[in-house]
Amino acid sequence: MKPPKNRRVFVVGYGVASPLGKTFKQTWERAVKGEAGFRKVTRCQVESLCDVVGEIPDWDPKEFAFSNEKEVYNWNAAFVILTMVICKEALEDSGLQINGETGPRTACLIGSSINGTDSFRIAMENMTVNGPLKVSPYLLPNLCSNLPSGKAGMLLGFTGPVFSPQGACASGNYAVAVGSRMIRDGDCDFVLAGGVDMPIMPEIIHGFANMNATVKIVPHDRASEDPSQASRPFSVDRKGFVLSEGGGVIVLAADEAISHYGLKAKAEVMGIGWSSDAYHFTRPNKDTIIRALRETIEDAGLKPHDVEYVNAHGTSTVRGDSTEIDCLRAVFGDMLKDIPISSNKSQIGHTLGAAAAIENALTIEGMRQGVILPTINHIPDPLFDGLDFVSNEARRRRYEIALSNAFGFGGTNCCVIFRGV
Amino acid sequence: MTREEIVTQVLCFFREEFEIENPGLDDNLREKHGFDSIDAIEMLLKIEKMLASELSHEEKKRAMDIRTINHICDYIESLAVARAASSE
Repeated sequence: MKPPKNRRVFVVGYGVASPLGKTFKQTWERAVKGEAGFRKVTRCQVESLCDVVGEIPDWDPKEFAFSNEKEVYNWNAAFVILTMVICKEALEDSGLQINGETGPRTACLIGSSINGTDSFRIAMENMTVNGPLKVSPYLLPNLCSNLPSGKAGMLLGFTGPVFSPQGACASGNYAVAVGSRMIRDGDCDFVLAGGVDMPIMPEIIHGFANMNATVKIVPHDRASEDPSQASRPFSVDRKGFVLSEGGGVIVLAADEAISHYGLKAKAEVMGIGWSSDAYHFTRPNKDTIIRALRETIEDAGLKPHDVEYVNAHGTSTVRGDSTEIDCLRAVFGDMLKDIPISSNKSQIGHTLGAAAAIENALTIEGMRQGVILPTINHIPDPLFDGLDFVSNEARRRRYEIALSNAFGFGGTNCCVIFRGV
Repeated sequence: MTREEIVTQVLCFFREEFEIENPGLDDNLREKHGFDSIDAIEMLLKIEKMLASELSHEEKKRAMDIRTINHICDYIESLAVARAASSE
């Protein structure tokens, strides 16, 4: 194998669809205003106390120039079209032209938690109701986790490696991490890295509800009259996450490619830390999370006091949030009280494999604009006394070094540090 | 098994398995400690080991009302009494 090139890696563009909007611009504008994107579920019918979700507003996969009714019928795993849309947006935002020179040097790594589960659901129903001949011949491709990246390549023309880093709810950060290493080593010059998930369907809603992982909106809960208050990370009354759909892609580029192709860097990927728990399939493990955090800072060549903002995993579960804070306290000690921490999941909910990628785009834009996005719906928990959660309103503040946390089922942890440019 | 022994074992299990130190016996486990249904399934497996016998479907259904450590201890106590009576 050829020796690695040890190149620096930058972010040059992003595309996002989230419950706050079907583009990055819409998502950002509402995020800055402190809005939330939650409502009673409309994608399907469920009888559940966990029926407040985050849905991409006005999402219609048929509305795009490359799409039509037949395309959507065949590609009925919703993550396929969504990936194509956000990859296109990210590429346009970056200014990168895919041609005979850049195409072979461009990879696409889009992670997911539940992949094309919705496609299997439709096939099951067709088979049960109409018989085996009605199972779509497109079923198997729809289920392939790399298929969305492959379809994005067919749409946009890149021919570098396409695959799906699968790290459950940390998938987005794994995509950024693996993609950055690929660029650093010289395997490619550009990577579309991100995550996507479209989980709003009855079995997934009930599955999370029966785990007690998602928030149950009982009478007198503050979200019963106002669904926007359902997700409340780090709050004293947090009771579980809000299940959401969405996708995020950031375009990574090698330093020399940026100048060569006249692109503009938005941030640098400074460091990566990853670990697994060997502990429990849902319960987090402090020791290995702390290790991932420390390795991220070390990989970036920084010290804990250099970190100026933490974009928390912050799902709004009782145990998950307190474990994350315990780990941050272990790494940052008393300095933690001076580091703003916020959770975009208070506004977007938990988009599973897409979460970290969406949050990365928001964090980087925050560094560019001098804005720290808030943790909305925040009512302080005495357990976290003295910490700064950027409660309820976005804050004007310049910062250059941001840490992004992501943890997933199966005991998988991936953190990334970005430097604003 | 005395009530005190049951409480000791349950608290030990919470400390070792769930990393929940010194929970109040009447704390709402879900709301205060994030105790979820996967934890509940693991708790039932622990109770089966404590009692050295499998729980019936009906007994497992009864566990769905459990909210606190005291409820867990009441539950174990009643199961132990029922098993002792049936073995006499």
